[in-house]
Amino acid sequence: MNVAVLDVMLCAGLVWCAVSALVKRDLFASIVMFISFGLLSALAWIRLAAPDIALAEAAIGAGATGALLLDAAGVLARGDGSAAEDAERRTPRSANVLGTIAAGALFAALAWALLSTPLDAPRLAAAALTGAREVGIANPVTAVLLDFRGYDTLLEVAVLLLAVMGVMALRSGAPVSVASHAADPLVRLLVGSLAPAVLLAAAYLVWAGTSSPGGAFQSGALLGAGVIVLGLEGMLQPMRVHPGASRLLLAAGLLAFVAAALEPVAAGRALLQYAPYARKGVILAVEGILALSIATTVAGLFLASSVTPDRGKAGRP
Amino acid sequence: MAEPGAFAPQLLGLAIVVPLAAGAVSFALGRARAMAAALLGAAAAVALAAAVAWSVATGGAVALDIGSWVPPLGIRLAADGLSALFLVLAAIVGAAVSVDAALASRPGADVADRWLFWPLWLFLWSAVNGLFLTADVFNAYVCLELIGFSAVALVASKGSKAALDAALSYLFASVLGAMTYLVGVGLVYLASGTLALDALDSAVHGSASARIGLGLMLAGLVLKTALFPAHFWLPTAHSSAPPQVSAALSGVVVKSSYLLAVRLLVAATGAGSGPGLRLTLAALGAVAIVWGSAMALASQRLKLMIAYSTVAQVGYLFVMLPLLEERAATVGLAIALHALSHGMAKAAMFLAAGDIADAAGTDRFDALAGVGRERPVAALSLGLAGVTMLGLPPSGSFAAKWLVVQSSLASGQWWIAAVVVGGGLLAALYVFRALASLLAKPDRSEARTPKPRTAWAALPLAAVSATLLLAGPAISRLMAATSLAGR
Repeated sequence: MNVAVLDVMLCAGLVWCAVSALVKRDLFASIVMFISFGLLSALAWIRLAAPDIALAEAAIGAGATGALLLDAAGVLARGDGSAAEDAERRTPRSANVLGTIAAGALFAALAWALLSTPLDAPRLAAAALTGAREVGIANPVTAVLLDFRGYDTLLEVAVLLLAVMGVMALRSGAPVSVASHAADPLVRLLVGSLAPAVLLAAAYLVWAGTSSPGGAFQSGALLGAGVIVLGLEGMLQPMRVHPGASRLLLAAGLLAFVAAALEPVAAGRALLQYAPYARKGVILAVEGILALSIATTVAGLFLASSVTPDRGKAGRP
Repeated sequence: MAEPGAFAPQLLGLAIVVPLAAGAVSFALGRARAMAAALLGAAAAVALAAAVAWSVATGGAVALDIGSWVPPLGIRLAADGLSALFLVLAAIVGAAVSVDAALASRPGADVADRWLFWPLWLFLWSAVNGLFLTADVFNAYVCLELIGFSAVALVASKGSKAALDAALSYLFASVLGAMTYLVGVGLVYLASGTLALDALDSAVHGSASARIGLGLMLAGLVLKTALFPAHFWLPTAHSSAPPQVSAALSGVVVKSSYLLAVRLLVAATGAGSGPGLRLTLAALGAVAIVWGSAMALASQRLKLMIAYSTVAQVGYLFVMLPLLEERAATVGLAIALHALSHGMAKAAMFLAAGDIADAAGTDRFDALAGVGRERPVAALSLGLAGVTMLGLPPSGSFAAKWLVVQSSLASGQWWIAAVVVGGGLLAALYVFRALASLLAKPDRSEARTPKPRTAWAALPLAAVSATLLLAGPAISRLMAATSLAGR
């Protein structure tokens, strides 16, 4: 009974956050609503018994994306404001009306399609559960992501690397540099003592991934968020990374995954067909390296975009 | 490893993973050695595409269950003759693009500064190969994502304001297309519990929501393939990218989402994608031919003209669809011939246009008078590629149009023949107009500063496309290992 009330509130909150994120005039306010939406949907995923997605949604959907959006809004505000006004002016009313009608029609079609789908239609969940038990990976989500559909994940990892390359291409391949401000001593203390805990939690999430919710994506996102906080407080300056080393760190996850995919081919098995005795070890190793690369990616995306506007424009024709 | 044919399925995986790995290595190595690593990867990708085509031609269609997990739990890669031919198209265009980019990146040239071209380009190549080979509709989404993001980054890498604007609207169109496709995949999975392409027919049969899903998947692909009226993003994106990128985008990338659309239509022939849907797509294709050609004729810039010509040429690929059900073998062959010859010719045109714009400092027609004399190789490449655009023999598009006209007259759909023939006349107008301005007497006498770059990569590409009929037997043999008849 109580839980039902909670669910109704959760749904209402989701809709409210989504609507206000769209209609708020103030960019900052609408980003805050977007982040709240992410946190509420993480809760919704928990209610739907999908803790893996909840962790990823909280870390990446609300956390990293929210930080990037806030940063972009900050850059826009630091300019003369013309960019934001430009964007405001360029949307004609007719386009808004047409867009609303199209979205409404799509929503109606989707709602009807969902409602007319029988809930007992066949799904792959049972096959995935059986398969996971057979190969000895207790967390079926990890078995799907790294084994049954490991090939999808391999390509998704490449998408992450692409995102960093895209940001670097926009900045003419310049290495990542960090904008920071003089840190408050109290904040420094807090962040400094938080860092080891973040590191421990990230390592635990990779280790836990094989048997319970967790894995490379959640762990990497957490670790990346930790690095972002450290960077913002100016605590990364002394350990600035060599560009070559940071590129290697970014690509290491994909390279490790590719190696794990190709080794079976060399041994006469199918692509990504791990040796049965090494399966757990290979998955753990790939996830560990992936987590490091994902952390570097998340941190790199944020720290690369948060250069001061003048530096960002330098070198642009 | 026992028999020689046993390794054939592995080639499919390698054709995707090897260029991907080369891209990652090229990125890790950085500015100084990115090109060397990428060129090695490109050579391997060409060899692998040739090996796949050879094994399909000699041993028939090939399939690989990745990780030995059988669908629907696992993902299957499959190559029939059509996928093998598209792999070969990517390999030929890819080789030319790589060579052209390598020639263009002398020290001091602005391209050398853009070393990220190499890893991005290898990722794009790997992803189109992935889309050509996948037999899983969700995996196809991941490939579409990979293609979209690498292509957008490549367009943006030019760095000019126009390129950034074009990249942004390309990004929006690309993400919207991919999301629409993904929602469709979700609905189909909900109704059927499978993501395997060849299980689609029974899934769509009898389920209204799966049918809506199929419609959304196709709508997303139509946007990605830039079929009229969803072509709005293509002319700016393809015309403001660096020439090598334009060549890859117009030559190969639009064909990748097209191939998936054809596979979907064929897989769901039994239900949902009946004659009405195909007629609608063909009607849009007919409008695309007229509209794209008219806009090409009206454009004041060479690269913009070539980009609009792509809008028109995509139309041909769709206009044939109503004939597919009745005459699967003939129309399948026409699709392969047209996609191949247009892909190569269009890539050659963009590479040549890059050379011409290099020489003239602009690609505006009013400033191009006489540039053909300074850049004979580029002008010749444009002329040869024009042979394909017009559909003259012995180009592949001549054969394709011949087959389509024959089939459409035989099945009484004469309007398709009319559009195909009329489109060739329109193409003649814009091709001759471009050549005329290049070969006109220069209106000023002072010599322009000579630049050492020549469009050597464009010429063989245009030549192969203009004489593709000579490869007819090989193409027919590969297409014999293809069934587009549906179930």
